[in-house]
Amino acid sequence: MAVDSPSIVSTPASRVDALDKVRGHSKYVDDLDFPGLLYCAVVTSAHPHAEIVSIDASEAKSTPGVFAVATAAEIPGENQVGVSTSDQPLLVEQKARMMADRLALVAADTAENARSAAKKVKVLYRPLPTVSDVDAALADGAPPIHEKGNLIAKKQVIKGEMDAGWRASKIVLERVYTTGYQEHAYLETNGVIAVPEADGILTVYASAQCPFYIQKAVARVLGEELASIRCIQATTGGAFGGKEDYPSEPAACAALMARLTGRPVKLVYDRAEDMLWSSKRHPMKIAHRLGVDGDGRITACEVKLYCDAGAYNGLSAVVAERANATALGPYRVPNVRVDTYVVYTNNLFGGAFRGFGSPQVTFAMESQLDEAAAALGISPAEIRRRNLLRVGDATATSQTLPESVGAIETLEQAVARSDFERKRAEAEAFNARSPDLKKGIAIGCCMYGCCLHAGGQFLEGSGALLHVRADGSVNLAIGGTEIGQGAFTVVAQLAAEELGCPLSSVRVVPVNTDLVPDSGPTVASRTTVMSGNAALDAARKVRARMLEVASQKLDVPIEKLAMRDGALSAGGLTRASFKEIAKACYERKVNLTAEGWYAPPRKEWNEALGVGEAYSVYCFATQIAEVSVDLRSGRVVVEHVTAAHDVGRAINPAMVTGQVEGGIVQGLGYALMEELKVVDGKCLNPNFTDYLIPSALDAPSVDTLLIELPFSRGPYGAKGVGEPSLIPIAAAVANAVSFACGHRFTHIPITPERLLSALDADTMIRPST
Amino acid sequence: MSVEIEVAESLPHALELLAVADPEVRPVAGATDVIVRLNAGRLKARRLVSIADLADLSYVRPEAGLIRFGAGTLLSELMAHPEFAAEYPCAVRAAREFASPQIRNRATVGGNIGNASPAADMVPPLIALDAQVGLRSRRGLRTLALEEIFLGFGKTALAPDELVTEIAVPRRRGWFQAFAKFGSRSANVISVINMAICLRLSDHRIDAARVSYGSVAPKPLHAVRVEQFLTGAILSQKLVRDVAEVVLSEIAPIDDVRGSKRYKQRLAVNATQDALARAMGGARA
Amino acid sequence: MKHEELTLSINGAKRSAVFPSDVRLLDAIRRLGYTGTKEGCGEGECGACTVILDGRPVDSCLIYAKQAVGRAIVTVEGVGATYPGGLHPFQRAMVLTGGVQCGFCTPGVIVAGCHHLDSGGALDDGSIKDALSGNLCRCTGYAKIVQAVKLAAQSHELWENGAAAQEH
Repeated sequence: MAVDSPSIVSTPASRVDALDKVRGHSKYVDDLDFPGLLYCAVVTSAHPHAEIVSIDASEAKSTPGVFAVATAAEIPGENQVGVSTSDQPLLVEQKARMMADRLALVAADTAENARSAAKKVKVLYRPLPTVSDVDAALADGAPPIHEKGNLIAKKQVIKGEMDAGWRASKIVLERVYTTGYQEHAYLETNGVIAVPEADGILTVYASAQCPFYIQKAVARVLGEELASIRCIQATTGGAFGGKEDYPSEPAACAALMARLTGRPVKLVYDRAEDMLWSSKRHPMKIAHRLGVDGDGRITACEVKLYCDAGAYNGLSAVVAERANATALGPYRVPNVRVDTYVVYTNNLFGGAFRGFGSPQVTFAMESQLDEAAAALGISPAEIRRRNLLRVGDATATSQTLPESVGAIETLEQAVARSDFERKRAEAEAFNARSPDLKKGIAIGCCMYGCCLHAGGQFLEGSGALLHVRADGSVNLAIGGTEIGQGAFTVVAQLAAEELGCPLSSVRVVPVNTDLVPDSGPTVASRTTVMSGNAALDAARKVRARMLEVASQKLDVPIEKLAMRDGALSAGGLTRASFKEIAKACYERKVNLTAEGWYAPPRKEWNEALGVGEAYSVYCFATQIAEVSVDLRSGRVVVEHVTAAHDVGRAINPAMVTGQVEGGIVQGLGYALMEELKVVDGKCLNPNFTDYLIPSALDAPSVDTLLIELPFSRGPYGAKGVGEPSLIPIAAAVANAVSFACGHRFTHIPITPERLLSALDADTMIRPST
Repeated sequence: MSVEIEVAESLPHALELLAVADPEVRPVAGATDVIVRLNAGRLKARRLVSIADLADLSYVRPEAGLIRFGAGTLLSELMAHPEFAAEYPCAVRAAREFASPQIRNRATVGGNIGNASPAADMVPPLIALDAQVGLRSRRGLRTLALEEIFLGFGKTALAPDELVTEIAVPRRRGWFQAFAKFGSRSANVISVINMAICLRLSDHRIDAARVSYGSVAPKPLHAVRVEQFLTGAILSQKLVRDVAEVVLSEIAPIDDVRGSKRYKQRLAVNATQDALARAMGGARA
Repeated sequence: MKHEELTLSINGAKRSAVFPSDVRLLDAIRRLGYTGTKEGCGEGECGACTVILDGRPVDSCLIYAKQAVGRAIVTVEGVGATYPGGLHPFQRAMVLTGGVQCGFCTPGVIVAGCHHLDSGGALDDGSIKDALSGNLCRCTGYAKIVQAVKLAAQSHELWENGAAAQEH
């Protein structure tokens, strides 16, 4: 039902919010002001694991400028913010399990006064032994962080027969891979303002991906109904998963203080607070065993996956679920055993981050494949060619893929465009004669379910509300949020195309929980499909009514009418404008408001075996990284990346390539330079001076190829790209660096120090045969 | 911690404001480091005397045998001064890789010295260039060799009423000059270590050597042992190999958040060897 | 803490308010209503707070407002002042190339990029990236920002030569 030869969809239209942003006019949370505004500061634990003996807020309370101090006793509703498991208090009373645990909140007339009063809250602790890694947490006699012990969840995938698989293999490669934390480092830190309204409603403005999560979390903590809490997303300065569930915590803090004081309360983290308190990409340990036959076909794969969740579950079990289900990557694997352990520690709080468990397992699988290729003497492109999934194949979870499987296309196009085989041979020759500078080129492939996992499918419905006004202007409200990825522009393009009005007529309004039904979180690269389809649903209804009126007004059968770019035509002649038809509808009292809804078909899933339709739709990508390595300094430069992405349909090709370029740079940071130094539960470098994210000078040239194999249930065939843009790059870079140095790097980030130290201690590990 | 800001209108005014000789009354120019350390509680001050943008401290004066420049000259201006750039490529290289363009538009050599960080990027090149530093107070003027200013980690020989006002550097055009710094990113990093080497060569003979390292000791290091090893020697593969041990014997880096001792040792050795190899190959920098 | 009235010249206009003695230039600018300039890190690493001070791009989080009294400050709200529609060619170019995603780094990038163009900075990739090396962006990967600088340079020459405004 897509418009044939669209004029707005599939064009690189300018973003709807770009002009405001380049002028500096967009208002983010910290730019908002309200009369009587107070500022909230947070008292957090001085120890990663300790019993709380007492909290004395008396000095803080009597500090000039302070309006209120709250501890757990002041919480009217439930002292609970755990988004999936109820294991996480908003304010701890008995036990601190991480240094980011909150003990008390202060509201004062200035942020400075609030922070300095917070320092006066006196807490007595009885420290407990710190559990600072997964091994320690799972060991016998480990201190239990929660009463039920340190294992949050166990997931698995069981398919085929492992013994048969190993017997059929010629080579078995066994290695342990580890990945470190990654910090989102969105340029805008977490921030919220809670405003008590005159009618008793509490409005929460937030930098956020999921206003509906915030609404629910605040209602829960305050003990109020959903109707009395309204969440409005402010312009959000980057999120990447870090503002999925996490903002519910500062939101509940600000809301509590707003109810206690009756005043609007702002809580905006500074950079150190944000880095110390907010969620992080999970460090993982991946014990990977891969069996391959003499032709390079994968016969068996066994993976044990350990995720360091930190002190509370949050979304860790869901992240682990995705890592679990996709540990084998985009390949045909007949015999599969994955065991995934999600573990409590006293470290930093693990949570959602672009890729959601995929980057870690992709790093392991892609490294193993390169090793296997080397052991067999075949090209890394060839081994992938022989194993990548095609239409009709079954995934590791035994899900048959009926359509839109672009894995091979992405490989072939990336390999051809990058001149992979020739460059590889050249690099090898170069390295042989160059002692201090090495070159490498290597591949990373991924597959990603661009929607929620089957286990979360109850959240997957998405709504929209569309008004066409008498002057032809259009308001569109969706449940998905704009976090920089371009969601508002995409839905505006879809709506405009469907309605036949100019793109400039469509205004997407800030996401407001009062306006649309709970549409699930803006995550999982699902928004184009979910909010896009919902917007199309609404637009189609209104279009039908407008064409009906036009048909009556002009006395032309509907089938002969076309509305496009703001003009209504019949038989190729323009007969009226979109505005005129809108006005005519109003005059005839025809309703030009419609709601839209989209929910994907139900997925069948067997939790015990980890088998079934894990995701509704998959995106595939291949990224090829070219690197140079200076063995004198240990520095790696990523020179060029060729990226081929199967996106179904690029609603806005410029924004899609923008996502790819951004994902690649964020991912190369993960691969090479981003390292949070956490010792005994304490983060030592919560700042941009010592946690390095890529600068402009680190950005490689990027050649992006968009492959469009339409997905039948996507708007115009679109799927998603937000996360696939990042997932393969760390694997590709690690493979390239390994190739360049003749050494397999099994940990990321490959910082200069780690690179030099590994080459020092080089032992070539040969695969067992 | 709140601090009072007083803006000096001239050098004499600044010296008058500092004459109270209180360690908690400090001069500040670009403030690019002071403001961060103050906010983090790593610095105590009750009043800051701003000497930023003082014309009295911002100048570059070439003379017959040396160039003098005001301690308040912006790094971006030093880099852009043609004669300074021609004379001191290692200092310009250090300035060019210093932080970011925004910071180079506020940072000064005086500030880089006054901070007394062992990682200071402008210091090793200026030590290797035999810089002399003028210090003024209402009590008068004194001159110290740059390396004499640093007493220990974060500690300088400046009295509380003293200001770094001028740096004088002997002419060094024609010397081989190298600067290197290391970090995990292409730009805007605090050096894991840094190094400056200046060599006066006749053909392959090293007539004079000046070597300095940052972040390998509590204060910027003037590597006299390395200098002695190199002075009078002929550049050769063997010299390049053998310098490694001398470097290791003189530097004393520690494990910290930026890197381990071993890593810093390796970088210092590699940087030194690479610079000597380039000099051997006929490069000027 | 001593409070005093400070007058700052922002985008050609004199603005005054009472501030604590040690107020940062960033906070003073924002409290005076110029909220385009952002705080990203407070330590001079990210460049989100970039403004022009006496003709040079600087991090306003590292400057005391008192140090900027009597000096000319230009913020993102003012970089396009002398151009048609109040938009600098670089601002227009960023809209066209897609160099904006979440927009939080954008004001700082705009100020740094406009300065590079206005001061005749070199237009090879290396020089552009160097000029932007003090502005961190987490969304775009920098590619379309660099493209926008080059695109703006083309129209920039047209402005210089007094050509008619190009409507984009």
